[in-house]
Amino acid sequence: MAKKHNDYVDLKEKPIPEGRHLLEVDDLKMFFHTEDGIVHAVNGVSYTLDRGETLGVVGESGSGKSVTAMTLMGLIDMPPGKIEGGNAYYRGESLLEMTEEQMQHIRGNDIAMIFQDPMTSLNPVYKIGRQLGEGLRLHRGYTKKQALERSIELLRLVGIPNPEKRVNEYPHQFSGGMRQRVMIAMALACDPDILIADEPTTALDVTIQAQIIELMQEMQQKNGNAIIMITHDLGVVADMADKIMVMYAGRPVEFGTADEIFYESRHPYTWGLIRSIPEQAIDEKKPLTPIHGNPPSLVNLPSGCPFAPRCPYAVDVCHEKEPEHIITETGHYSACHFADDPAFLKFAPDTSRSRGKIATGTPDTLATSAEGSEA
Amino acid sequence: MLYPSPTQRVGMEAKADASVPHNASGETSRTLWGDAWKRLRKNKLAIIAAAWIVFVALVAITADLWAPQLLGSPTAADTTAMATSSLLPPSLEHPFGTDVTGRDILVRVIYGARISLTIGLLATAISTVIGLVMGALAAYYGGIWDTIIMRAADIFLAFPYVLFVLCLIAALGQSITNVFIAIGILGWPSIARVFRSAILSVKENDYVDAARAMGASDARIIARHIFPNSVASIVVYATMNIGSAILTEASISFLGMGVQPPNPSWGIMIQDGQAYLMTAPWLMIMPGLAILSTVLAFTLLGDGLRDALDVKMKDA
Amino acid sequence: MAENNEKAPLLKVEHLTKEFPAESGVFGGRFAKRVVSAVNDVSFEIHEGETFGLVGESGCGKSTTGRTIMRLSKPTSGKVFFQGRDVAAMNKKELKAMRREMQFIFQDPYASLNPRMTIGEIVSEPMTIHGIGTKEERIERVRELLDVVGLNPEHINRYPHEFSGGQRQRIGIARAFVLRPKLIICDEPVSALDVSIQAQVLNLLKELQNKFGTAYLFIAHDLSVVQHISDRVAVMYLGKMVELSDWKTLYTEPHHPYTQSLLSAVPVPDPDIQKSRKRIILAGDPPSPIDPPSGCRFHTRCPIAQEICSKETPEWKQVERGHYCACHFAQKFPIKETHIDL
Repeated sequence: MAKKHNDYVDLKEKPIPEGRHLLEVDDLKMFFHTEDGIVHAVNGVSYTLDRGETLGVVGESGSGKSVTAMTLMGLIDMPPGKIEGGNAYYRGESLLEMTEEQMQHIRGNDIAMIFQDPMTSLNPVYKIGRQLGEGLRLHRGYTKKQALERSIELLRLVGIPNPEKRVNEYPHQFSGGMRQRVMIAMALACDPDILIADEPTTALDVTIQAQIIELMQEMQQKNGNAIIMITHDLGVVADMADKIMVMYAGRPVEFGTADEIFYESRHPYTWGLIRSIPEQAIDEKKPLTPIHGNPPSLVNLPSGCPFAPRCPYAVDVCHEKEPEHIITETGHYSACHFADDPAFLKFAPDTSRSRGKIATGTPDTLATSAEGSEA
Repeated sequence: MLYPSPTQRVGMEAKADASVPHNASGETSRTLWGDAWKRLRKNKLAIIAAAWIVFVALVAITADLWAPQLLGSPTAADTTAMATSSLLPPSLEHPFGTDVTGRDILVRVIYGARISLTIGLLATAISTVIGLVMGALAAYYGGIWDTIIMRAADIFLAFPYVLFVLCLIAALGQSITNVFIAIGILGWPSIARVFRSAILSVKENDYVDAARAMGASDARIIARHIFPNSVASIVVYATMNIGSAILTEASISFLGMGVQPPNPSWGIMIQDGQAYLMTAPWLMIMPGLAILSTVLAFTLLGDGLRDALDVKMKDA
Repeated sequence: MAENNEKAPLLKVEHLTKEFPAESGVFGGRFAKRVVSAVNDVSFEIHEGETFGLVGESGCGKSTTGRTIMRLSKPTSGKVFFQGRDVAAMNKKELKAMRREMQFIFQDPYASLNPRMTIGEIVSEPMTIHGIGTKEERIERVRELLDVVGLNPEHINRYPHEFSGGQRQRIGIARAFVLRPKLIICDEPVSALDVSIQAQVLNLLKELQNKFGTAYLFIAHDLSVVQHISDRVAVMYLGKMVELSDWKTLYTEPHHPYTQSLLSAVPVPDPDIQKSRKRIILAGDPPSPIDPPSGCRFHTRCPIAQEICSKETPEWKQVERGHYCACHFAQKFPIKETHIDL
């Protein structure tokens, strides 16, 4: 890495305290106080994240997946937002208790964020090089020349051809995919510990999405940063995530490793999501099994389990009592009253693994035939 | 069985959506204008403004029935009383005081309101009609029509407005009717612009294409889809325009080209009063306050209407 | 639905081409007019009761194709036949009659419903325009249809803003079905919706098709959605149709390298499969449709491009019965995408 400015103490140089994680979010609650009432935007989110890991945060619009990330970054206006409980620790230090000045050092330097819309997240009046170098000059005290050199290097790193020329161009001269690459370069400029990506590929076409996902994974391997991938697309998290948190109505309803979520899910909402996706069927098409109804308003949450009104298995207790997190030894938790009932878990959807067609160990047969195409 | 199987629920799925109540207000048939009124009612400032306008209008309309009896004629100078009642400060008998010829200022302000409101409404009506036609032509036909109309509007807007009105009155001849006409005719460009851009943005919506795809005629598309969705901005703009027409009338009357004495107009009253600014300030202050409060009321009402008519702001 | 082939197709599109003038900024007409080649020489047929899927990335011309068929915009050249009659040659009256039989479902559930009309007015508008039934009959039909699409018929006097995105899309669907059309062009009808709602709407479309026998032209960018709903699928790239076949063949034996890369780029919601499959990641961005590449429009990104690809436009030819492809090497490079083989 490039040389660093001397008088700045980097929090990411600090070792993670024994027994702690890089990022620990513990029962975080953040509500908006609006004229219409209290919006329960983030309601008891808990997870841990280590370097090199990718956490996928999945949920439908309004489930609080973006707001959770914004809360961690201190990007929520307070008021109307208000922390109602819980905490979030980065390298053992509470993010919520930091001053705005400290947070400014964290943002971009230790935790960087990329957004959904690559068209509006770059400032149209500045050259790409200047925007890329801004963080370096701010956090690292680079000179203008150093920042420009590093910008060129970064553009080359994210696969932008001809970076010496492109660095002097304006955002409108870049395509959507190229802008998202620039955003990634910008986010990675200061070598952050955590990269939060909020629907980074939603506005892009599939072939470009594949490029961007590959790039993020490549960068992660090089830098060892953690990624929080916020998306509505289960396909994207299946591709990238080590851990997955499924959110519904501001609450995390299930959290576990990718395998646990896809193959041993213990929450009917996760099942519903999986069943809602058209399967790439080969013999005959099965009708989809949607989740009926609509997500609840975050102002007037239903009593009991927030998913109960849409849950096909809901019984009386679901409408009366809010479920606790039922945690397994591996840390896989589910907010469902019946998550530990083996009879109930039989309702989980079939997966490729439960059907045994993709047995563990020999995926090679799948890969070989496609190789010819990579000429 | 403890849990209904998923397949049992699939059949119910289609209906389930319907059972989600979205609005506690029940099934009463409500109109969008009704909803707008409900939202407007919540806006205190706009309601006070509307009440003020209604009050001023009622007073002005009914003035003949009671004002002269109570306060004396607004026009005829009472030559006999002149010596005794000239330039009296506000009192119980003359709440707004009297002017140099002994006329009651309150009654003159009331009759001035007639002229101001009439000019405001009529001139705005003229501007709006011309503006709507021009804006609609420009937006709907586009191309050369758009260029000609919009460039013409630009030229109109480039002239100093009051000067332009004065010239036109000079050309048409000096009368109250011509004041309406002049203010009205010259007010169209801004309305045309507002309406044109409203139409253009409405035209972009899929529901206009949807109507075309259904086989709807141009007339139907304009009447049912484009007009109702672009008219709100015109209602708002016209409301505010009434206020500025009142101001324009006051300015040109002040300059002596508008309403002629002895007819009372707020502009003339201010002009009459300016000589007595130091000795009898109520001569200017009273009509000044009348203009201020009325113009402000129209602006506030316009603001309130804008919020009330905006469908997107509404959260069911 | 190959068995329908003998019957005259419901919709026949022949060499459809649509170009827009590309405005060259401040100087307007001073430069030679360049055109955006949005749709170029596209031909296909849709049979009664079938679902024809049209996939492609943004800017590939799939929506323009749908709008041009509906004659929301006029084709630059080529012909569209609906029930054997040339749509371009129709006069106002005939066009109106055609629009009884052909309806449209839009992507944006917010912009496609007039906010100043009640849902009763919205859904009955096609009947009003075509003068069908008395007012009472129309209301009855609207209530019936609202029930069919899963909305409460009591909500007939409500306004669109009182409904969620998924419910609004149901209103749009009810409006499209109210005249019992023969063909509905669905332009990305589920892409603005959340996954769980998307599944509801897809099931509803399928259900309505079974009930009324309507044909769909289903336009979308999401391959798995298109595969799920379609009988036959066509893939477009930069204004050109590159491949067309029944849904099964397209997903198991795609011939065109673009179809293959598109399929392999779609993330599968299954970590095991995702980790084990080999993917073709296309380099670069799709070129601009203002100056499309010469020869095969895909050659700039194609992993198997040869010299001929930049020179000659590949012919649109039948590689198997009902399976068409426009690639010089379509038959020489039959690459199987076995990852789908669950």
